Amino acid sequence: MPSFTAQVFQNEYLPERDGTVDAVVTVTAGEDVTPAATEAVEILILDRSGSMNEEGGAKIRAAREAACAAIDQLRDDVWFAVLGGNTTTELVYPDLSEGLARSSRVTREQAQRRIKRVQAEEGTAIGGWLLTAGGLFAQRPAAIHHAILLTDGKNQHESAQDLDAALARCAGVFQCDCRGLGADWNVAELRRIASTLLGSVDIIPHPSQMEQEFRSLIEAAMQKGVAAVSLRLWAPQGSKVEFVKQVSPNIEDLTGKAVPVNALTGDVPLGSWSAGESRDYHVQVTIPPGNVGDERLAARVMLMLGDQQVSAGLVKAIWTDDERLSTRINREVAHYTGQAELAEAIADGLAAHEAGDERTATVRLGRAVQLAHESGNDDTVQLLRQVVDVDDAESGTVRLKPNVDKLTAMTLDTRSTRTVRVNKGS
Amino acid sequence: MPACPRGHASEWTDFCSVCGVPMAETATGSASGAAGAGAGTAGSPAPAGGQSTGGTASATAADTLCPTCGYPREPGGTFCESCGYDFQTGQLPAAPTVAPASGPDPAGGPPPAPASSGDAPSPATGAFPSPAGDASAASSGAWWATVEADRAYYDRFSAGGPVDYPDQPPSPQSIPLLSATVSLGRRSRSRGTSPEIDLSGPPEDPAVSHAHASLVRQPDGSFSLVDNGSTNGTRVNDEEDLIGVNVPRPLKSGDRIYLGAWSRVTIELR
Repeated sequence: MPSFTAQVFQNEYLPERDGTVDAVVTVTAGEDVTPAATEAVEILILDRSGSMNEEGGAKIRAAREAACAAIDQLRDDVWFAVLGGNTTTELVYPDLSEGLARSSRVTREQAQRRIKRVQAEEGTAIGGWLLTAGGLFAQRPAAIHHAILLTDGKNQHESAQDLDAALARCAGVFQCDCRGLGADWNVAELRRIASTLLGSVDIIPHPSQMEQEFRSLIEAAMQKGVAAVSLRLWAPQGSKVEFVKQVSPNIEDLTGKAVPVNALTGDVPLGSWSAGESRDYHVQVTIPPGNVGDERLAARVMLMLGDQQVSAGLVKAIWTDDERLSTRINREVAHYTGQAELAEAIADGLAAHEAGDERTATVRLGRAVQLAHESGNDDTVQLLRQVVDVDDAESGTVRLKPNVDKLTAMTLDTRSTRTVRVNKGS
Repeated sequence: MPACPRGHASEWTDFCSVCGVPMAETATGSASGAAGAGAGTAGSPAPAGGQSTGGTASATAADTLCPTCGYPREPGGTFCESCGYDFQTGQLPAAPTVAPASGPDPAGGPPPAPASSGDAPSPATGAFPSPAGDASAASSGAWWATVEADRAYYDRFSAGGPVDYPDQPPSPQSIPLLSATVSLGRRSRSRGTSPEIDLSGPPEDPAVSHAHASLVRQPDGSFSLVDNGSTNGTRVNDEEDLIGVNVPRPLKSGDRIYLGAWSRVTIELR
């Protein structure tokens, strides 16, 4: 049984009449979480809609090259397929009757020859692409299921309900990292797809950057050694789990994904893991307040591999009248509360900017600069500096740049939920 | 199962698995010890003074405040005036009174448990917001078509005609329905047909038209069958009548499509 650890960081002391308990749980996979023992299926979903022909065909050419590079990274014996998506979905490789190919030098080369012939035409119907991928994954139910979705446009050729229905069918079936090429796709839409399918979302500003991105995505996917890890959270009778959020490496609200085990316990799916990988989760529970001196278990956090518990941590509440204890804010909780506020400030600032409300945009993006600076989130500071001129990072005094291009704003938007861990920069 | 100081049956020995109070009230030390062993609790300062009085304080709290909603208990009252919590049995009323208004979840939600026993609290006390999505629907995924020869169909509709039942019927073949439209027919280079579900064999069913019929995916993910004007028509299940030409016929998992002299295509959600 692969090893995992769950470590709880919290201030368990609460003032009288307060029932809000916050904790950060760090989950780390052991070095024995290796891919060797695990069957894996990898599916590439390439947008081949007509817009991929823009820029003199540079997009579709880059997509072909990136897909070929990705195929090169597949280790032997991994099951794989390549889909070309437009208004409908085409199985580029292998043949329909086979469904999935088994990776070898021969099949990889065959796949690459087919990929080079992919032509761009028609529209974009992402839900159909996902359903097709879901059908293929179903052929190997026990394997780790990972997909990469590349699109350069909005989901225009099917209804929002179609996409919703497809996402509901695919959630839990496979994990999907989504990449938007250029500036004509919709960040909120692709983020929703990635969130539902427990994957990441990012922008590829220029076609030339695609090959490297695909290569590293596959490399990371090939490291995954354990599928179907979940965080089982118990909270006492009369309590309410306010939220469960992944807060590192990026912010992802998982509250709505909890599947009830019984009235007091729910399972939050955490997807697949590679050796040594570590992520942080912020849990907030409100429990009925006790009297001074009372101790209560506010949550039990159990890490589950299927039905097996592999690690556990306790979140406690102790009521005290000693303010030195109860007012102390745990460092981890404070840090990630700040990172969540940072993401919100960026989202607000960009929305205000787009709506032409420069005052709000300046205030919110200024706050974002301040928070990013304080927490040592240098990457985000760099992205913010492309949107605002910073007079003083410490106080968050900024001026909006007169001309911000769409690509820059989308890059900031897409990467706004990335966080840094607590020790960095402090 | 051990009982907690409030009388709940607890699955755990460190804290009560219903209300979260420490199990060993009279020996606080051992309770903390058990907690420490099970958890990597970090960053927690040393216990404050006055911990040893925890047992007394809890007893007082249980006497004066409702453990589920915190509302002061009427002296000697059996039920909480605010939420209806039963101080004697530790049960909440079945109807939600304190829980957030989470809509009923048609599938996958916690089973209703009115008048439940001690270790099955009512859904009203559930700590989680209602889950998003339907887990059972999410895990069922792919539509498949299985192609085979059907002797009974041949005997009923085609025997005595120009086509013989094959000496060596084809072995059943399963094909995933991947596209939004899946065509059924016979591959023909000259006519330019290459249907996804190809009935050109061997052995070939010559009564199947080249572009015979199509399966069209519906918004809900299921498929409808359309006869594209085939020469000999298409039937579904045990129905005597052919389906109408160009009239979509909704299919459900397990439906059988008959075409040609003896070809049967069963579609299933697996």
